[in-house]
Amino acid sequence: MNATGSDAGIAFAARHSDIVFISSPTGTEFETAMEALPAHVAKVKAAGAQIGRALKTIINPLVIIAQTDDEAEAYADAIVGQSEPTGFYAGKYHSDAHAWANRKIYDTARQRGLGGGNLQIIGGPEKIAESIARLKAAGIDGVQLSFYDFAPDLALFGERVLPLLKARGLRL
Amino acid sequence: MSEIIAPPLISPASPASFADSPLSAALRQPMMLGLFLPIQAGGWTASTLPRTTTWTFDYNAALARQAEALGFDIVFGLAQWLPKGGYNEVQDGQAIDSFMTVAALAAITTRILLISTVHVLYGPWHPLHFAKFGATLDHISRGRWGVNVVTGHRAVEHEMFGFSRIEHDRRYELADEFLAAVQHL
Repeated sequence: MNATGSDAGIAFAARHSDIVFISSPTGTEFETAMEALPAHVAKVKAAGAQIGRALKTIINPLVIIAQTDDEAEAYADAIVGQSEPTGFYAGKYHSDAHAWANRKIYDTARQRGLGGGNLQIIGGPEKIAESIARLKAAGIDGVQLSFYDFAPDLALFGERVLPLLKARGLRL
Repeated sequence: MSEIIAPPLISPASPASFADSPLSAALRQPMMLGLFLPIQAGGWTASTLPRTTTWTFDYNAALARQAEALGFDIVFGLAQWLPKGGYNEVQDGQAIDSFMTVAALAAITTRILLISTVHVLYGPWHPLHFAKFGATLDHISRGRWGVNVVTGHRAVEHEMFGFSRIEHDRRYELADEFLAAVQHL
């Protein structure tokens, strides 16, 4: 596996990796990312195909989950309400990685307050399952999830979202 | 982009080419599910809203078991040498090591894939060390260990290891050479 966003990194991944950990080329906003991701994923897979290797892609959404969409939005607001701006967005993060370059341009104050993840998915179980299905439709083979409050949020995901993913044929 | 000088790739077959490998089992899922472990303070968010999340090994070990029980395919840890957003109250720089943490998780899980993140250019890392450690983890985990190879992109981190940051594309040439050596071993 390797995590990358650049042409050189993708060429490296094609030679060495089975799974490529991609990022959103357009920041964390889900709808905008969905426009850019199919072409980005296709580029990664084409780099593998060119040298006879079948690459799988995985992406990291931050999942803000609650019993309903409204409760999830309120949860996100509560997180953001107590969040401090960080050096990552304030230009104090001296990185030359291509994978993250656009986040500073695209992300809104609310998205910055929620923080990490290549993408942010906020919603009740149906919306989370639907978002994961849309990522699959964009050509992505896996999601590596992060949460705000890991143990209880993962438990809720397991209880409410996993059955929906199975029903959609996304999990065996 | 500079031309990557590719040595002949004498790589062992990918574990994906063995139908009964743990990786193959994960790849058969229409949508793989992984959990990104919060082994660094603050996880991904600099918020003080109360939560259970901590970077401690015990918390992450419980999460790995929880993910495995739910049928997840992968747990994964990032490698953080310095806090991503600069220091603040929540992201105070505390983090346990990705390689060591995942190694310990191998002993307390049975089915889930375990991925460590390694900055192969922060070193010097000798390819022999890397190959020996990796082969050992492959045995301990019964084929469930994998590595997320990264090159490092922050000038200050390269400087911590006594080097100037290497030009972006050149980093991948060096990482390519490193992995070619590891695979020979």
